Amino acid sequence: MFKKSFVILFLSMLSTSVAFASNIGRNFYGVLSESLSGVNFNESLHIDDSVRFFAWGNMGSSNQTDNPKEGLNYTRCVPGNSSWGGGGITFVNSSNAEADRDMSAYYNGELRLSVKINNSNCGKFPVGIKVNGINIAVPLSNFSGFDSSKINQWQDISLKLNSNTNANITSSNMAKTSFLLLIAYDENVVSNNLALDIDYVRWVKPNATGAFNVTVKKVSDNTTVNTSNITWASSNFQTEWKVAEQYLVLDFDDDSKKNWDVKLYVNNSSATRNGLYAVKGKDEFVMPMCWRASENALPYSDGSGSHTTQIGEDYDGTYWYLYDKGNGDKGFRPWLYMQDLKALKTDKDKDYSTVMGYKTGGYHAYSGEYGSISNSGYYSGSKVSLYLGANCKNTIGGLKYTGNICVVLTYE
Amino acid sequence: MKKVVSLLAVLFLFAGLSFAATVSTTTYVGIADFSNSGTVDFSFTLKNVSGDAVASQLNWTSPDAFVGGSTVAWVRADQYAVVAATVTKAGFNVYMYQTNKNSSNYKAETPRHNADNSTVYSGLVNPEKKGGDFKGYIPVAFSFVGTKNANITYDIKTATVSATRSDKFFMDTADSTYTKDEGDYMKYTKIAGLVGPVFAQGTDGDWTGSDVVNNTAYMYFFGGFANITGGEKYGTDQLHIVQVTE
Repeated sequence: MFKKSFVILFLSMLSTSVAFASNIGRNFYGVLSESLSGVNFNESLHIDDSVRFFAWGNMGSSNQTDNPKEGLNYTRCVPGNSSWGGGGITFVNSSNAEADRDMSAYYNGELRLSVKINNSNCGKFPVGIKVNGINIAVPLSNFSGFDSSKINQWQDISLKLNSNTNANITSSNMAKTSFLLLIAYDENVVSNNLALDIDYVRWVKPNATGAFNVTVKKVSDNTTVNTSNITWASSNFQTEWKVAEQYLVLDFDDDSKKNWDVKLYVNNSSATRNGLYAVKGKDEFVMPMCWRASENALPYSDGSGSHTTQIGEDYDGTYWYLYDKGNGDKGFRPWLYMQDLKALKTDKDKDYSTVMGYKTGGYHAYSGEYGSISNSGYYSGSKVSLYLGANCKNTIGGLKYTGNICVVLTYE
Repeated sequence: MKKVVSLLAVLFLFAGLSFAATVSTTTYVGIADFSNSGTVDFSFTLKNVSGDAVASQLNWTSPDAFVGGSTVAWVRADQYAVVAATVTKAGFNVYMYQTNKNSSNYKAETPRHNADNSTVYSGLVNPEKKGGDFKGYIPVAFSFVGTKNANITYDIKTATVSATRSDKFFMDTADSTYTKDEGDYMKYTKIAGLVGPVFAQGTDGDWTGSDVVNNTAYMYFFGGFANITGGEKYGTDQLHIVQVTE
């Protein structure tokens, strides 16, 4: 479970290094964000996006959940009194020590974040970045959009990543970026009872244009295919739950869409057609479907074991559930039952249709009970590989099952 | 002036309460094509009730007490049918029906009338009379059961049909109430999404065959004897059992 905090509480996807594609270069690179892909706080993965939080001096930080700006969490920074300190988020190397990455693609772009202050003196907080070994932190009051009179309200601010902000912010120096977010203060800055809340931190490329792309790929070799059909092989006849021959890569790279989310459901005009269906005379036959959002293409392995395309189903005496059959742990339940548009569950504790979103806190990676939307069910990010499964066990020959699978982006 | 200010305030308040949502939908067609999948395995075997030897026709031995009686007495045939169906292909059905008007040896020319005045040509035909209401037919009905029962008897059901036995009459394509749809073809099998027991289906509803074991059911045949003249022969050579994949 990822919590957007300077205290790392990553409970899964640990230890084993896998081939993860870097997020550096995305138009909107999430630094302290649940809904945008970007950094990865799993240090043990040792990938380009690996970061950790460093703190020094007497700065305290905590995770908060009351009325966040984005997702389900935000971070509160509380400096000690009459002293110095700071903290930040930095790239790390294989030894988990501060390390550089090439972020020159973001030169002339912006550092954007949302802050909430409890005192106008918070405007003195130096906030910035570190490039080529140089700390560059400017008072919040220098950030575009900052209003020191706006107390206990979220405000969106930004800092240009070029020499207009600081002469050391150059393309060459940004090629050696370590701290993506840096807070450094001394006794001349701090005063009693200051609290700085931070949320939705991201780096933005110059002239960045937001986009939502859906790509179809083959499960067999991960190559891109130009098709609008998702198919199941006829060899799956009367077998079990089987994954489709194609999967979708959903990539939301945009910070301009307000309250966006991406939903997945079938639209077959009937609550009982929760997948593929066929009609023969007066009889109707249904293949129930399911789906799974994965951070990476399947299969792969990490600290929690194997992530596979195998689908298992069981009943625990209370409800039916789906699990990763190739993992061996029936408690690992990344698959969710598909629903028809006519039957979408909308209770706050039951959500089988939301794949990812601004307010949900990332993408829906774990079902738990009833497709729960609790904090533990979502992982940070906005780029996922979306796999589709169907129950082939009770299929009948002589039929062609079809269904309308809908990927729906909604925003204000 | 005050009125204008108030109106503007109301408009602003409503604007703050609503927003337009933009929805962008991408639709993919999911396809699982099992058109060439599935198998059909069906058998219909007549056997003697006594001894279980394979038989080639249905015979009735009518006790003398039923001959010439005014009350219809349903007599079980001396043979029964073993019906086995393992079908994993949709659209497969086995229909049973008669075409007595087409017979040469037991030709029906005149129908008999039901209580509702509908006309039927089905059953066993008196070839001398070529049908008709008076001693022209012996109506025939059948039942499906999941276990063999040599002592099975037949009770005429009314509109409410037993869920465990199908009380179906033989139907002829010339019957006045006959229409070619699911209700009027006597279908042996019906795929309800599963490979499973044999069903019977007709205008009275479906028999679900819940007591069928290993996809095998048993049919028993009953003739309704009444007003029968001793020494006469009734029969049919137009009982068709047809396998169809639709």
